[in-house]
Amino acid sequence: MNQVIALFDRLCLVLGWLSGFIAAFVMAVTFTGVVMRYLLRSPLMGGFEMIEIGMGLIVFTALPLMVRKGGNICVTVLSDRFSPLWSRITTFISQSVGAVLMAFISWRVWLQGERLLTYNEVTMELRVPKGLIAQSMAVLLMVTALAFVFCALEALRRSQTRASAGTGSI
Amino acid sequence: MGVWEIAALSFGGIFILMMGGLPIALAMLLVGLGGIWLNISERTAMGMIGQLPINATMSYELSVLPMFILMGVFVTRARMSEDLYRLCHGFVGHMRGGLAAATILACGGFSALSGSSLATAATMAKVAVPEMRRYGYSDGFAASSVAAGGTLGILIPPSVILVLYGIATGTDIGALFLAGILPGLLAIALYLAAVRVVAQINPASAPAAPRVDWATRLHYIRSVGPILLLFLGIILGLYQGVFTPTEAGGVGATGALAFALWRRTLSWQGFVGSLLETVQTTASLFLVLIGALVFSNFMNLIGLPGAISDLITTLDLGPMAVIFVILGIYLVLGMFMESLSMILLTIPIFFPIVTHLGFDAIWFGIFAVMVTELSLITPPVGLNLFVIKSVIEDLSISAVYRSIIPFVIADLIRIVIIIAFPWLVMVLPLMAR
Repeated sequence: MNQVIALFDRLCLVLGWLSGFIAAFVMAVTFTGVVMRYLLRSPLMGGFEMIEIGMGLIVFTALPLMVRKGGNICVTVLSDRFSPLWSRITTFISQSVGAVLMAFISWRVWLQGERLLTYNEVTMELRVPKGLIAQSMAVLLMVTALAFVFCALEALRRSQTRASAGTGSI
Repeated sequence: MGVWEIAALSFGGIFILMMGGLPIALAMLLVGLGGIWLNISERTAMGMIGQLPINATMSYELSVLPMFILMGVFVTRARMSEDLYRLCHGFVGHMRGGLAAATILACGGFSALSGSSLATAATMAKVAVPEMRRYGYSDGFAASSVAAGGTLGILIPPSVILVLYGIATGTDIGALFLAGILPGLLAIALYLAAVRVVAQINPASAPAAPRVDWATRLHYIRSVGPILLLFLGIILGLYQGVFTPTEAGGVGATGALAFALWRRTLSWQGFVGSLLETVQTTASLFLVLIGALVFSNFMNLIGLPGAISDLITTLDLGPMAVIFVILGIYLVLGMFMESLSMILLTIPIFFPIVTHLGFDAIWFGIFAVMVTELSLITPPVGLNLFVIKSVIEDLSISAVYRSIIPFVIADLIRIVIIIAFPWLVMVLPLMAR
């Protein structure tokens, strides 16, 4: 079991790196767009769409790592005072709810992607099929659901739950 | 069930789930989705949840969030906080209460580069609290000045919460950023006044440090010069319409990266670490945003904003009375909720009401953020207080509770000033139009 979790965490980290590099790409595209508009008097072709698609991918590729690192924003004013047993139970329930919700959303987003593929909807400039983007998001949401499942299992196995800390960035 | 019963059950449900430890995003998603399913239709719930995550994330405007978060992370890695503090220390540290004043000023400077209150408080606490302790400042006063200074992070642009407010209400983010500048400066002035009053009443808690000569001060100015130029460039670019807020974020992040590289404070590992930190924060913010959008759609579908408007008409409440009622609600909510969920939960309800009453959307955004700021330092939750406690472990939280009172009073005075003189918020956005 530990090996499976370690392997899954490695996958989450790789996805996190991918998300980070997409963020760096979005930064570079935004900067290049401004430079080209003012210095070369020609906007970057497809820049707007690259940023839009990049944004979607940044969020969904980073979600599994964020969940595994306990980065979900929580109000811990009361839950910090729970007994260890009660804390394990509530963490297990919270993470299980997260898993069910993410799996459900993943399913609905996948179906939405299928619909978009049926209508052959593509982005205006780069002609990227919107259905494929949506289905990539659905797959990543399913990985996020798995991340919640592993967190729930860990809560059951651990004698002391990991404190659900906020990201500290709001 | 009527609108009020459904709304009360829904808010109560979210509250219980959050207090039970369920992440805020999941609580809003669960109640919002379940509520739409049960009260509207299964078809509406199914359709909305398939489309909303795609539409909410694939947004050009929202890319401003990771860009400004990235800028803040790069600036932190470039150890800008230390230089800013040293600069402010050099200019005002020799006065009584000067180190606390330097902390407020440095927090203001750091806020101009970071959109987050907690990040500002956590970063500055590591730099300022040990220095103030070294000069004999009381722990409570030292920590309170950092906690109060940290709240500037969400008012002085760029601000994560102002971006989310702008997206949620369709208000111009650039105008919101400009609108935050003068109230931000007013906040700094009032916090400095609070420091001065405390130093007068209890001189032993805030002694003066030795005076720094002008050659050293000039050296300090040179060390922060490039990054201050970057901030001025971003604000002037927004003011003159050279950049959109998204572009300002991209240019700011690139500039901050260049600055960190120039100072040789960013290794390859540091760069990758910065990216990872940014995307995890972004993912967690977006999950909350998706949850809030689902929940606010639910509230709109059951007709809550309309019901509240009808109630206000029936009770014959004037616009100012409504604003004070909202202020009261925020103050109560702020005692046990954190800022982001407070804004995202309440704005869909309050926004249509206040704009219907004739208040400007930009003014209300700044007002809501300022009240939220207050919640960051109001016991018992006061997230900034806990962030500082987590950074400085041997700090007594009860001492901080006592010392934060002058800063809470300064915040209340500022809110009253903003209500009495709304032009203070509106003047810069109007001039830029």
